[in-house]
Amino acid sequence: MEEFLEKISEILEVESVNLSDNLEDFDEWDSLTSLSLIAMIDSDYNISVTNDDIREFKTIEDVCNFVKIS
Amino acid sequence: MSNYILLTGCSSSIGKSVAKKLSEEGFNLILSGRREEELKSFSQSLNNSSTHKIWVCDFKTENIKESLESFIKNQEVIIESFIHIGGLFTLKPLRLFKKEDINDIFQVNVFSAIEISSLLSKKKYKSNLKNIIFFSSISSIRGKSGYSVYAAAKASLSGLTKNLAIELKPVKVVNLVLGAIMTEKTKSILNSNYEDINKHIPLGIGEPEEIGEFVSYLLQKSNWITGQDIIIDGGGSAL
Repeated sequence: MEEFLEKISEILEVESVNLSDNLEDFDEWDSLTSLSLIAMIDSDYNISVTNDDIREFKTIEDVCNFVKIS
Repeated sequence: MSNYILLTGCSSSIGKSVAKKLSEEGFNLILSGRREEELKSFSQSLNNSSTHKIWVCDFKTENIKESLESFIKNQEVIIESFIHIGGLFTLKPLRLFKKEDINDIFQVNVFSAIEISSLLSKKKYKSNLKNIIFFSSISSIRGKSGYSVYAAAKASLSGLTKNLAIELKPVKVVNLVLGAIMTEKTKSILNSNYEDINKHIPLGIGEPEEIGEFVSYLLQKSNWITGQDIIIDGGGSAL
């Protein structure tokens, strides 16, 4: 879980993230960052994420729940 | 001693598809990849499985030339064609690349191609060598966010192709520049935005089987194509 949050922080280029943080509030949250998130979740956790799934994600917790490592 | 085709990247969807096609056409194959068990079970699924051989080598960490040279000696094989499908793809913004990531991408996509070609261009091997086929990506000629380092590595294969075609003649050297193909590796990216990507390619997203057909043509029918990048992308780059 901590490792996953670190990877998300790296993609979003921030020191750390909280579960309640809204994705839309991050400056770096854009189409490339979301594609990076898709690629990271696929390569490191072997889980497929679609753009529709990504659109459903509002908070960091939503992403964690999807990857089921909360 | 028998003639063989050295095929790297045999754990990938495209590698498997090309291997299947070439084994059906009666070629002897040296299947290369990192995972021995996976290669063995794949080899057993092919036609003439007893004639195929397996060369296990991790391009990131091993001395490729030494490993291949001892393999050729021990197995008593003649390499007639080298098909470099092995590759490493990482999609992320440039700011996230660490030195190790960059090294790995260049090592697996480019340096391995150079090292294997270098070994096979030695006098004792070159006289038997007829074809070198590299696998590049449409991202090397059409820009996209997140592909920069991978594209830079793949673009290097184009320069290598043109120059080796001269230096190693009459060995034919061809660089296949592939567009969007649905594979185990690319499916998460392609499926994430399938409709949009598909509609921007006149003939749609490709299947790995397309490639085996063309490789088979290059090996068996083509006698006057060398030093070229050949784009196979369903027309995507025509737009």
